[in-house]
Amino acid sequence: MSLDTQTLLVILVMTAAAAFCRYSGFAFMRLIPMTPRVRAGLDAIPIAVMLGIILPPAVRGGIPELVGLAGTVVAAHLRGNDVLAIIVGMGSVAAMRWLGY
Amino acid sequence: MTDTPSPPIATFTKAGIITGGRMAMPFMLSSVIYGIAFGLMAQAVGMSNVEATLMSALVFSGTAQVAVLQAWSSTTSLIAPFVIVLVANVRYILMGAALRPWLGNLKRSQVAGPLYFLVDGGFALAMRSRAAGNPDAGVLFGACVASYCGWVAGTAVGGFTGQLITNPRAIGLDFVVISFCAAAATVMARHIRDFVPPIIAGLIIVLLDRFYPGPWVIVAGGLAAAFVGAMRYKPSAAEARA
Repeated sequence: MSLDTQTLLVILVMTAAAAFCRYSGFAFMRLIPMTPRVRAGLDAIPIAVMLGIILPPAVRGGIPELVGLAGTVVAAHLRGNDVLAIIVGMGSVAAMRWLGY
Repeated sequence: MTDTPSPPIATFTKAGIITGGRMAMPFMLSSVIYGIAFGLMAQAVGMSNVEATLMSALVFSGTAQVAVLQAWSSTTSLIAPFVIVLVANVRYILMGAALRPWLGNLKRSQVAGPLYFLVDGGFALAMRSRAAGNPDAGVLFGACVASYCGWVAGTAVGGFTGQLITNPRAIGLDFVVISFCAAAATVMARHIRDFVPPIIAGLIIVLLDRFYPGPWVIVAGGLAAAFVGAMRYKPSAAEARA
């Protein structure tokens, strides 16, 4: 049970940085008039952000990650069930790694 | 196929929070496991359990926290942790902007919560839920908070457990959030009318990751999609919507 002052300062500084990232984009868009064109731009962001999360580890990782990604997409497309898609994705990644790929 | 950018006014209900929390269970479990792993790592660099748990509770950012731990003993400056967290989390700036069309009409007090707990899995889940026609922002809040609770509880437990989970990668745990985002994106792709922005974003992401890998890859892809999406916008779609 201990709380070092220096550590507490580091935590507070980290908190400020994380909160800034989480609030600033939303706050900033308040200043921009929400025209249909701006809206179309903003609506294109979510899928792109998800691709940014998905693609680097998949492309860099190699065969297990690509197989896992393919399994996830097929399962999600056919069944639309998250739990199943994740189990298929995780399972195939784990299996491929276990096989030594 | 209907025009998707005609969402009803955003709501924020208790039922939505519960739905979001329930739907988040798959990646909440991975938050717990990674929280445990983080708790162990924090202990290894000499942080107390209270400190580690407090950090998880306030910062709530896995990659950023791990990155700060890696530089833990080498520096006492406050600038390094600030910059590390900022860079690791820069994608949230973009997610926040992307949430504006949906949450812009809500009260400030209703937006404060979902934004503070914003996290990849919750964002993906909520965006898919919205694309499917559900205007309830409670879903976003519930999903993010579920993940948050898992992360904080995991961190607290991690300080007490021994090396229970030696290698989360071996059972594919590092793939859970990626898999979840992929599943959400697959379902959301059915509502996309213009595939050019995501294709360009994908190309930029893969190319940039090859030469300058890092968290900014996500931001570059998102900005590219926003730019292309705005440029390719045709007013006729707006008239059809009205």
